Amino acid sequence: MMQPLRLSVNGRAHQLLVDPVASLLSVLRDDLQLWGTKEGCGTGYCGACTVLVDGDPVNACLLFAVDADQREVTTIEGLAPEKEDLHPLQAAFVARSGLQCGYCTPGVIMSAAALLAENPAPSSDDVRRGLAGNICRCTGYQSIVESVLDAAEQLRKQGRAGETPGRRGRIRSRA
Amino acid sequence: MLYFEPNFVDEALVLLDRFGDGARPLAGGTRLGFRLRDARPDGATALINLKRIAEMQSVARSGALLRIGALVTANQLATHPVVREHAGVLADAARSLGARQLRSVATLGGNICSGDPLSDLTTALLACDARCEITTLQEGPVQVALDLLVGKAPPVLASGELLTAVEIPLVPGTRSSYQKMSTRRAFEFALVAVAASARFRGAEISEARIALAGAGTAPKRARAAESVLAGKQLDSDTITAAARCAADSDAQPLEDRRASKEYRRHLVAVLTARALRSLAPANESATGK
Amino acid sequence: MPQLIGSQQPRADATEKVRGSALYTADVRLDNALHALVLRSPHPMAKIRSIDTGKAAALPGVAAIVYSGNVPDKFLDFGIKDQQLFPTTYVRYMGEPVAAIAAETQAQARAAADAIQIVYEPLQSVLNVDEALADNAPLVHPDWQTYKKSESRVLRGNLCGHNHIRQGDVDAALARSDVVVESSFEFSSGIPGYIEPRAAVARREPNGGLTVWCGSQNPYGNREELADFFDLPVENVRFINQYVGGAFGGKILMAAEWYAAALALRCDRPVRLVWSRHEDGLNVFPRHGGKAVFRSGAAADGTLLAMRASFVFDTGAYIGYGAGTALIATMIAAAPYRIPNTDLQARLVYTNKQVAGSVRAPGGPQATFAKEMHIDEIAHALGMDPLELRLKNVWRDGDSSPTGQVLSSVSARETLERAARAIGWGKPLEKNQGRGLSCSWWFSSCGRSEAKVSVQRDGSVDVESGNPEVGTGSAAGGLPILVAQALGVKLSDIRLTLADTATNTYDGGVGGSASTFSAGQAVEAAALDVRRQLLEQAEHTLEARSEDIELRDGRAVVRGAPDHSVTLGELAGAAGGSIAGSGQAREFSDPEFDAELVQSHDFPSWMAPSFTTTAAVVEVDPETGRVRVTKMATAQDVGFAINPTGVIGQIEGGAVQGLGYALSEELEFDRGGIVNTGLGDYLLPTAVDAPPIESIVVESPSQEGPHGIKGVGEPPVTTPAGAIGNAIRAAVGAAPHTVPMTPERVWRALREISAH
Repeated sequence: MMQPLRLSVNGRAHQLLVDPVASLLSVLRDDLQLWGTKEGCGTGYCGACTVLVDGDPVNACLLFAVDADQREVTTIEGLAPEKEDLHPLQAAFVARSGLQCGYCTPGVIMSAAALLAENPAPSSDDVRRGLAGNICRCTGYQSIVESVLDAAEQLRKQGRAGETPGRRGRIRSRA
Repeated sequence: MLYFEPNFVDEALVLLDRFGDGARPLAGGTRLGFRLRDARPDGATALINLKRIAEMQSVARSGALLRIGALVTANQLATHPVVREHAGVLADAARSLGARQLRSVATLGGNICSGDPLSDLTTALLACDARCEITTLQEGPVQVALDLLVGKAPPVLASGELLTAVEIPLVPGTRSSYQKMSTRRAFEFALVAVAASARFRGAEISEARIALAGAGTAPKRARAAESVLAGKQLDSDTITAAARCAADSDAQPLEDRRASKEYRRHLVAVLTARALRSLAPANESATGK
Repeated sequence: MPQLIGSQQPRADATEKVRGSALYTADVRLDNALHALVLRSPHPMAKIRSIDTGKAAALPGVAAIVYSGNVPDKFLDFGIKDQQLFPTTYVRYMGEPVAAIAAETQAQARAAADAIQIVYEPLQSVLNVDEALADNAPLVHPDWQTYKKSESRVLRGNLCGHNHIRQGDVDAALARSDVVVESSFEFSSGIPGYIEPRAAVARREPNGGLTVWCGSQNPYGNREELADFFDLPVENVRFINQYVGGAFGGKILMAAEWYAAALALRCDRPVRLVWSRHEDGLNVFPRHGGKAVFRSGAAADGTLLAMRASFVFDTGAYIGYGAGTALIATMIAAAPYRIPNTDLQARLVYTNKQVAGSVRAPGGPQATFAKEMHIDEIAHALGMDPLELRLKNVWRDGDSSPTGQVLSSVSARETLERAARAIGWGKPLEKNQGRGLSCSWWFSSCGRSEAKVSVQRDGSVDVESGNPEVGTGSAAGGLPILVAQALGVKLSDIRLTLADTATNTYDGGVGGSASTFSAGQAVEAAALDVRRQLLEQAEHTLEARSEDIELRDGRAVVRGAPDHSVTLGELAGAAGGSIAGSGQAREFSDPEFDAELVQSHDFPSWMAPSFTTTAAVVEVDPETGRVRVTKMATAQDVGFAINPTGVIGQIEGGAVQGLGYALSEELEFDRGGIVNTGLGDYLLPTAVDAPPIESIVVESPSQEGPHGIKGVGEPPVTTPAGAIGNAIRAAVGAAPHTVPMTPERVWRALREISAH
């Protein structure tokens, strides 16, 4: 029995019919062709599928798609505001080489975006704790931490400390 | 399989009653998802998504009682100022659960009802003298001590039952601590965890509650250790005695691929001692990692 | 124009990856693709009595089923021809693929899998090296005597490799040693740990050939193997590599590619096989587990006199790429120390388990952990500082290795000194804190590699290489730097096409610390070919001699006359639209060695060897045994850092992989089947576990490598475990001799010493 789902993804409203047991990850990738969000483990243990739902970081592989109804979902494709080519986090990861194979990267960046919204001036330990749910096998995390700290500084300089990441949509959040 | 989104507890109860064993209440869904998405059918006839029920999502303090809705998430527990102030062990346990992404989604009720033998939240709640509000269509809300709920064999809830809230009595001057040990330093189920909570009368303990995870098939109270502490001052002799008691009498640890029972028993002693040491006056509530 | 080689530059693929627009194999969506599923053996060892796919094939939605009965029964050649695509006679490990199905939906594929009727006769299995080597042990390969193999390989029952390095007289030297130390070690098995599970999409083409989309470390080699197996002309098989979400040696052997291709050949629609983490784990090629015993003697002044080392490695049910582990272990056992009397051997053993592979530095972490812990034990027995003992015995230029290879550009001493200094060696520490060192060496490789470079009319530069970008940055980072340097263009002018075999630029693949050596050479040669042609054209256009012309900022400029210039695009236009060049890697022969000193050894000398030392500081909680690594410093000799960003990335990533190997990563088996296939119970280090890492790039150029480089990718994962183990012992007086050194193992090691 298919279920209607109305949600905003990266600022765009969508109306879909979904299987009620479908994960948000499968809807993002299969129904909306947003392939930036990756499946690394499918069980919530690697964080590669991290997206923001009303600003909260979640594992899209665990969240039921129906639980995103009337909410704002932000994926890596929607992190940068419309007028910006790359969000400061994305720019920092490029400049600092905070990535190698790139598979964990969208999830890491989305987690970091949530972290910086809650804590605009984190220490490196804060960053490590905040990203504990994102497993990276390539980088050893050092360059990731440096990238996030750089981005935090950039955001503060731009007067964007604590801003909610992602594009705003038309659907009011459930809360 | 049908799908429902009840807006009130009453509606949910009608559905649970109607579908009986085929009902699948959905809270965070972190475990239910796998069962339902597996190709093999498991007899589910109705998925009942509880998360539109506002009355199950609040944290409220009224007088000497802290009432936490069953759908409150681990992240909310970890960050809520009232929980942090009055039930620090629960906030600390919630903060140690999984990782940030999981905490956004995992709920108090879902965690208790999953019967997870290493549940951080259940362990902490046992040390908080928590009572669960279980509601059915026929009987309305009933208070059940959490100890009774986790002490029996799974499933935690019978068909038709809904865990709607958890209540914790608040007693001024209570100090608490959560100590958790795992192989890596984050994002792992406990090998052993200890939650301790104590009320003091002057320098003496008037009541202590110690709960253990990883010391049996489910989180449990360390009653022998608690009795060692009653009426005593928290000095190094009492702490050592209580820790030994918890390890030797209360703990019945399992042996599995992650750890031997001998090591788990040892960890019970170590973590109990650490939890108690941090309760001594002039120490803040602390989480070990 | 600033020097690009040797400077830190962003990677060519970074922007796509941070945007989420970089495509990996699971993102490749062909219309109408069928779903594939692999059916696996439920037994660790069994005879296959019969396979009947009739009922399954008739089920709704089933497009094709492949199994031993309808694919070539050829044996794959990994030095010993012991493996078929699907087994015909025996299954040899729990989880071994026995058939594959393509159907409209996953559910239909699963129903078909359930309906395939296979009658097994379970047989006795061997599940560890002791069982495998016991007298009258059940055989993993009952037919081993019929197998073809290359001459140097040892094959006898469950023994599928045995190499020996011997020099001098170990027993006599031990007899006259002032101290003799014996140590035993055990190594658990582990996974490569790539975050992207394996996947492949395959489509049969009208000419009967195949197109395969995948994320392989070795697409050209895979393509040849696939074409050969299915008797297809190589030119009709095309591999299009996508971005690879980490590989670490686990994506060299084909897996998903085999099954997708085999099915696609029987279907008229594309076949898509995307494994879940669990499925990937059932078919993973893990790092070898095993054991080692070391016995060494030294004089009272710290001179090492003799070493006897014996390794046994569990290679699982088939040889695959397992041989290297045993060969490399004996090459590492006594290195990099002057030990005149050595007796080093390693055996490789079949068991009824997953096929062990060539995970990043095969044999390296195992052998380095063992020997470096052993070296510290010798220091302890002598009452000598562990750094001092190492410095006293470490190789110098002109020394010979145990196989008689004369060594040059030996930087081991420098790596030891710099790493030790970086962690404050010798300064006081708090209780339960300790410092440890581990020093080792590794080889460089150079395989066949070809490249094409061309400049277009619009000034853009196309670079085609067969080297895949699996994450390390050797391709997306290093190759553009070489081209930009040679042609004087900006990195952003370069368009890189990697690992699409349609470009016909063969490359031997990523692995063995070879990429920059091979692909770097080829790409640079191609770029220099284009440079020569650009200058020739510029001579005409600018009416100047090429010696007076510079290429910089995308232009050809007459030196001293900055207005007298022309863009590279204009030169290309004048030459007919584009200027193209090609290049290839020069292959190298391995250094000389003394054949008298080795027996059955296929890897007895190492080209352009590098040296690496990791130094670690730990804090041990003696009550729980949990170890916190508070700092790691790795000094690695990279010869010359063409791409420092890439080099540092390898060092940092290798350090944390080594940390995981040291403290938490362990595969668990039940009847030979892997139990912890998920990432919740296989413990990769998190950001909280990883310490700050200091990377010390040492440059002691090689003779062979382009710009003097040495291989970079593997060494940094070999040394951390030994450093951490030694630091634990320094902190609390004992350390486990089993990796991973979990808290429980540390606790038990401490209990043992307090019991005495």
